[in-house]
Amino acid sequence: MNLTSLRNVPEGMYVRIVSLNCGRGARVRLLQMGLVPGAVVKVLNNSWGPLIIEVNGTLITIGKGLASKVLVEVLS
Amino acid sequence: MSKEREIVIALIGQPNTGKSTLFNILTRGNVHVGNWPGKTVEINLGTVTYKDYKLTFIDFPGVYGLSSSSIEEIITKNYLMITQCLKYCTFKQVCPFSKKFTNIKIPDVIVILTDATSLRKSLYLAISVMEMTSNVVLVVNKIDMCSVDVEKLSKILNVPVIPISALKNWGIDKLLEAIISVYEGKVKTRPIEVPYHSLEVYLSKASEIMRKLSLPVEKYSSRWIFMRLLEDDEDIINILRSINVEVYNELLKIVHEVKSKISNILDLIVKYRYDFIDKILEKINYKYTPKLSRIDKIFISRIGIFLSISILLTIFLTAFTVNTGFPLSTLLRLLGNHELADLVESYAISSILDNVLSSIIESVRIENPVIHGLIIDGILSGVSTVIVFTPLIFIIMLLISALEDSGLFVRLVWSFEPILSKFGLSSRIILILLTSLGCNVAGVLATRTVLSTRERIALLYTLSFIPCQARLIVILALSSIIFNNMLKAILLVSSIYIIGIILYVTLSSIIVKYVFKEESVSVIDVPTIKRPSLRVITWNSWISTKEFLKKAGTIIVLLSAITWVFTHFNIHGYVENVNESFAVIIGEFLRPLLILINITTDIIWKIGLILINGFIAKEGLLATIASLGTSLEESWSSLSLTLEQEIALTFFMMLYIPCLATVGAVYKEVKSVKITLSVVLFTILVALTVMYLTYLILLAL
Repeated sequence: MNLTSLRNVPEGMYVRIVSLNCGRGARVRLLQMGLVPGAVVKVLNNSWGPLIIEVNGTLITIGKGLASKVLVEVLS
Repeated sequence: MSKEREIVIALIGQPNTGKSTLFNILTRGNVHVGNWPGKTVEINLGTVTYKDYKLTFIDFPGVYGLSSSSIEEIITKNYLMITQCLKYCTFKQVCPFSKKFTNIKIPDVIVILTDATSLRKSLYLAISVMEMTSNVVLVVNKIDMCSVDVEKLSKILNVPVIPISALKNWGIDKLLEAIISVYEGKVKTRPIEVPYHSLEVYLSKASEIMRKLSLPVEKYSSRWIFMRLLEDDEDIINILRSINVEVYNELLKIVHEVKSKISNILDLIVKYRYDFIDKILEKINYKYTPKLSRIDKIFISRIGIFLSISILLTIFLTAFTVNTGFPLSTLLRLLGNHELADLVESYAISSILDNVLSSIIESVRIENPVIHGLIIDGILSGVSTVIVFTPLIFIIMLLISALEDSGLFVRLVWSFEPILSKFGLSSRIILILLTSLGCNVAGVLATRTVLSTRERIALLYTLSFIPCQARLIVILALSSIIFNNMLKAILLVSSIYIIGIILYVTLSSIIVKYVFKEESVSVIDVPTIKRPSLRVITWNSWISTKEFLKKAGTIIVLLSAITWVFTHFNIHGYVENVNESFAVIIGEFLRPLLILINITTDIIWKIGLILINGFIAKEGLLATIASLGTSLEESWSSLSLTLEQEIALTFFMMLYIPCLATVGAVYKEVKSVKITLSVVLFTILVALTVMYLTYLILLAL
């Protein structure tokens, strides 16, 4: 398995959420937005600007600090 | 029927689902604003007559789910829990919240709003609510942007599902009909059961315990009670404990058992709910893939920040110019066009209002000097402060609502993100900074764009360090008196701006991080860009302005009258001369503070008086200084201060206590005398520290 943090995933890649390693407040919000373990996420932007992802039809912006606490598996 | 029957309807939905637009349409703008008991969160109530019914809508704050991670979620969850307790349980008397919530109505129908363009995420809240309650009408908004098989969805969830477009005013009558059908019991609904697979064993055990020990709840309620326990919900823990400790202890044993077997139970619970939603979406064949538009791509590129800055500058400078003529008038003067500058200023809203108000005030004739003074200088001047602020607040609120409603706000946040995140700051503080540069009162209202209540309170503590337009005038005047040298004067003005902004930025992030210990929850969903609904933004701004007038206005007028009494009375009664009033005694109180910078002269009360009047409005600083002598220059020099003292005192005057109107606005936002006073005290302490340090540094140089 190719594991990394969401922050390091290049644009256009698909990943699967493995685990969330953040505090309760942020964890609850991430879960509510659909970033549950197992969910497939597409990274739409991860260059200069904010980290923007799509989770099953929802666009979400995540701060890069928080994104580094989300462990993902890169899908080919 | 002779008498209308009242139906109470709770309107629940996630942020960006178009809830305020729908609420506005349903209530036809006929709304009053209240507060949740003991909370700073506002609640909108709207009443409208439809057929034989009086429909009362309760607009809940936008929440993503029903966890306890924010005040808004706790309010929504507790409200549902309590109204369900009162309805289905017999433990009305022991319910620890029922006292606090006595003035809150029990909903007959719960309308849950979802978004067709983001159905999966918005169904999450819907599912969470439907687990707790029956009598639900599910609304799918923005149906014009994405089609949803509502009939199938209705069959699966067993509740009426109404497709609407709030923006285009589609489907509203059908929604009202559905509400009435549910109310009259023509449509039978009941809570849904989300399959929790591996947890089902424990759920049945828990239900069994609740049944055996005869906890007065219905069958389905036992499910969500146990799920809440697994999610460590403190409110349900307290309720359970107070009803039946035995049940609570038994349930706790199962909770421990589950937790010992499954780590990260929260993740699993949410995952099961989403699995359930995904199955539903598969059945109704829902597909929607959002993409980043061309405009989005510009905002996230390197040039995005320039676009954002120009958008913000344009709208704020226009707003300020319309209101006071500044900064356009100053620019025109610098270019040498004094006539046009005067013209801009004389046609600005605040100067027109000023003229009208002063002609009204002049026309008042009262014989008795005491009553005349109290009414004119005490009460009416307070009233005119409020009135002069009103247009600016309305304009700023209009702009901010338009930015938010159009979805542009999130894009602005994007473009600032790369720069601000380097300093660990949330991009939202930029908007408050810009607003506060114009007027701190408007800045206080702009804190509403901050999602976390704690961060909001932190910003209320610090935003008054940002120099507003009124203070700019004072700084310009003082710096030109203190220095004959233009360059040095400009240096003083800019250092005040730099210190003010640095204090605002650093202290607010310190408070958020170390006092509130809040991890930044930097996850936001991205609404699609759309034309803002003029109806909603004007209505929102009007409601905010009206509330400001009502709540902050009262405080401002009251404080203004009290200050007048202090400056015109002493223990013997009314005095003509301010020098003999209580103000002098209060001014004397400042002696120990001013000793910090070695000011020990006997005219210390003069400085005290200046500071007291500067509290009413910062412009008052200049007026008071001038009134102490023949001219501004002369009376300033009559204070006989050294250069170091002058500069240190100027810093103090720019930072201590926000003006009276800001204090009123802060009180209106936090609804707590304690917090408001601590904000005032905090600013004084910071101002003193800066004054003292400046003095020491200048002496050392």
